[in-house]
Amino acid sequence: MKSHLSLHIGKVGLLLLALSLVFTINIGLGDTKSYQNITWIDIFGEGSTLGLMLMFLGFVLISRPRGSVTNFLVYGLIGFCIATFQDILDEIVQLPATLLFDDIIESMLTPLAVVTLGYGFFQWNREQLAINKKLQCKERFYREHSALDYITDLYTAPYMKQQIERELVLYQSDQQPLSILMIDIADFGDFNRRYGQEDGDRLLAQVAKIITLNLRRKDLACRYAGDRFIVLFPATHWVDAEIYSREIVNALKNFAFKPSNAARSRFVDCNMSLIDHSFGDNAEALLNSVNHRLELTKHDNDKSKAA
Amino acid sequence: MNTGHFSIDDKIYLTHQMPAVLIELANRQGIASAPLLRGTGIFSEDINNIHHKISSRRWQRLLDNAAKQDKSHELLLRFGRQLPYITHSSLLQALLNAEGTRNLLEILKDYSQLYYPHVYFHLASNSDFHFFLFNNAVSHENAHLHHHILMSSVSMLFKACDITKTGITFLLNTSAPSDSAALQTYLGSRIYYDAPVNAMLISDADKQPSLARSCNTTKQQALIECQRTIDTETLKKGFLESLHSYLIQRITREDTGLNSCAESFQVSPATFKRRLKCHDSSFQYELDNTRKLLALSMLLIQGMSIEETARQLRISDNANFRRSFKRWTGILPSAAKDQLLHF
Repeated sequence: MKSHLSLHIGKVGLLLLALSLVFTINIGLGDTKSYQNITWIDIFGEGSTLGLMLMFLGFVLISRPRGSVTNFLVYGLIGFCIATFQDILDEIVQLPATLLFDDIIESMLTPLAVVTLGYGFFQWNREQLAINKKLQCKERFYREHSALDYITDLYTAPYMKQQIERELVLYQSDQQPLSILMIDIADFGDFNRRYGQEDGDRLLAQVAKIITLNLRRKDLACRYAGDRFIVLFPATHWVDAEIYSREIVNALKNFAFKPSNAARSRFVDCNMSLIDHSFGDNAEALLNSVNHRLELTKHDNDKSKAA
Repeated sequence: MNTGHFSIDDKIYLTHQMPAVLIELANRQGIASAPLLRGTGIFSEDINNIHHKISSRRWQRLLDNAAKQDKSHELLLRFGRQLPYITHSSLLQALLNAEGTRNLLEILKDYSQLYYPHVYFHLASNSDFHFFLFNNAVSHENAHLHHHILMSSVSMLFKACDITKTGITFLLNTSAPSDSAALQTYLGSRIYYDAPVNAMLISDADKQPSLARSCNTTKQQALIECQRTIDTETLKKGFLESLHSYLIQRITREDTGLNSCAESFQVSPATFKRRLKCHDSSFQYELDNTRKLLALSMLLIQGMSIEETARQLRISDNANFRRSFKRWTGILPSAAKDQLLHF
């Protein structure tokens, strides 16, 4: 993922300008305390708070695009950083008692920053709920970014294995059936050779999208490996799962992929295998079973094509 | 004997070929170049330099880095599928025009230096099976990475030649990984983990007919071209491969020791030991490994009895042979047939 820092150069500039201004005013108008009068432990405590704020600000700037949520978070954090910086300078520089600069910065800017940051968090939460909705059929109950597949944005096989184990527990306690579908793109190796790896990856990403578009809210799709995708139908009998599976395969068959170096669209043919909970009593056995059945289907399809 | 061989530190891999393709594939999977290139001696500008070469040790390091960075465990298998199209074009032409399964495997075995110098192959066949063994030509370190690449690659070649994959069993001498999805997808569901060797067991029960696309003249011309490349570029066998060839010739005929081996390699025993250590090995390990390969080939493919195999390997009695076989492979000779052939 590309860093978003370049989108926020103005905000970084604002932070640096504000910190320099506070520093210049303190040094210009105040007297530096003698070494003995400096409470180093306070500087260390306040310095670590400033460090944490800057780190948080850095991650927000790197990872978030522009937008209102980002603005509230960033301006709130900048306010906090300035107030904390003034707090640190107070330990080193003695401003004249008549000058209210440090009081204004610390006592007025801090609450303002809290309100801004709090509102930013509130908006962030709403944004997260909206993103969760978008992740339907791609994620269930558990988030682990390191298990995401780079090409398709789906989770990978270990994630599916965890979810199958969870559904098997439900099956044992509540007798809820479950079905598992495995799909693979026919002649994907041939496609890659003909159109290139880049188009191959693009095809995988689009197939992933079509599969998730054709799922119910409670279903989960993952990329198994290579050109294989796996779908979990929780609380679904095999008979119903077969209907949903056919719908997915039909959707894929009607999808006209546009390779970048070909004049005509390419239609996706795929092999599928479907099993239910009766094929094994743990996730490993079910995955082996669905894999094995897919290989048999592929073999039969290849044979009938050759004939 | 001819001692011409390459060592682990000889620069034999052109950077713009296999390393460049691996790096490109990794980048496509979201893996940055910097952690891949760490410790490999390759700089970004070297990738497009057609004269830049790296050694087997550096290639090994690149694979280690790739395996560490690749969370999906798919990168090397994906690279394996690309491999036939990266190596020598005449070799690919010969492979695609092979007359059948055995012929394709024979070409791979005979021209492994052109295909993938780090690994060489043994091939033994009977009326039911082809036993295609993967051996390390220069180093045993993380050998499974090379074997995964080659298994995926051979599997790809079979598909390109319309050879059915359903009768292939993959023997891997590593434990089953926690995430075996990638191996299952690229190799199929017939994978036997913790096997005594890395090999492909290809059933020829269907008696695969001659391949439809095969053309003998084209294949012969391509093989002449391959041989010419080997001769003009003086491509050699790996150090361990040379040692294995020597041991295979001697083991069944005479008692072979470190001193006689060192003599045939025209070095002192101490230098020979140091050289083996440099290639992550020892003489005893290589001797046992060669005996293991011969024993498996004799028992599984040639259908020899335990007594006959022990006699061929110059092991004094059957009990001794059984004990040695268990030490080499982890299973008894009587169990080997059942477990490996009828998996």
